Amino acid sequence: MTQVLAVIGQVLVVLGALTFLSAGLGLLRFPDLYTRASAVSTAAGFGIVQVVVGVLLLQPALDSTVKVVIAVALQLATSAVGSMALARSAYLTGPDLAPSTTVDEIAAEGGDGLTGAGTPDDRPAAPQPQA
Amino acid sequence: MSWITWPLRWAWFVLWFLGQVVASNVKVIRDSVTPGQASTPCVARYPSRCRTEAEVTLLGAAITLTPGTLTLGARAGEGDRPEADAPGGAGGAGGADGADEARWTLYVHGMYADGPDELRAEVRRIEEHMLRATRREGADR
Repeated sequence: MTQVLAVIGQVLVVLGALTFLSAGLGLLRFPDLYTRASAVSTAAGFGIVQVVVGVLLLQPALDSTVKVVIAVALQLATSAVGSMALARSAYLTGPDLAPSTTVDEIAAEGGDGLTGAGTPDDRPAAPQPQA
Repeated sequence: MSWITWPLRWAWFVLWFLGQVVASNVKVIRDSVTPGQASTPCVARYPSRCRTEAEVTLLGAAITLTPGTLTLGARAGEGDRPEADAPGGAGGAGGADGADEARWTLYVHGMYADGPDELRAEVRRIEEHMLRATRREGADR
């Protein structure tokens, strides 16, 4: 039984490492910040879980299981919140979307949907260029 | 649906969501290890049916955890439905209990959706499964 678990564990650890490799490739090859963030999130979610669960199967124990559950939950929560914070601040401060982006509905509706300025009616008017 | 099924509904949402995450992981990984770029990114505005901050936080995190889709931000209220912000709006019996609360709008970046409408449908599917777990009455109202 432990033999079977050990084999599955080894396979999971290697698959997790390969997930990290592909996330690194995607980080280099994807066109803009947002798609790169998506590439990294494969490693941050899927990759980490595979490696940690794989290691648990190599040395199964009850207290390790509890630790794995806590580690996975914290990792998923923090990586999601971190990705959202990065993506939002990136959109607000500048880096452009890739040219292959088909539609941007934030820009289509005036570009300040993310700033929390409220409904279109109570937004301050755009500053007029000085004559 | 009743409170008795609550743990079951959560278990089903977690299982379904894990399946989604694995499937979309495979899609993103395949794109990054094969030559060329298959992505057609777009940014969509998603008027959500979430009523509480907990629900919209969970939905945003679920979208972000699914590789290929990314939450860019959330905003209380719907820009094109000002009557949703009016206090004490359309009350009444039945499922209208959320009508006078501020709804949440999410801005979502998607890599493989075929235009914003398809991306909205994708997010809507996640939201439907999530709301079925978090609420007694499910997503429909």
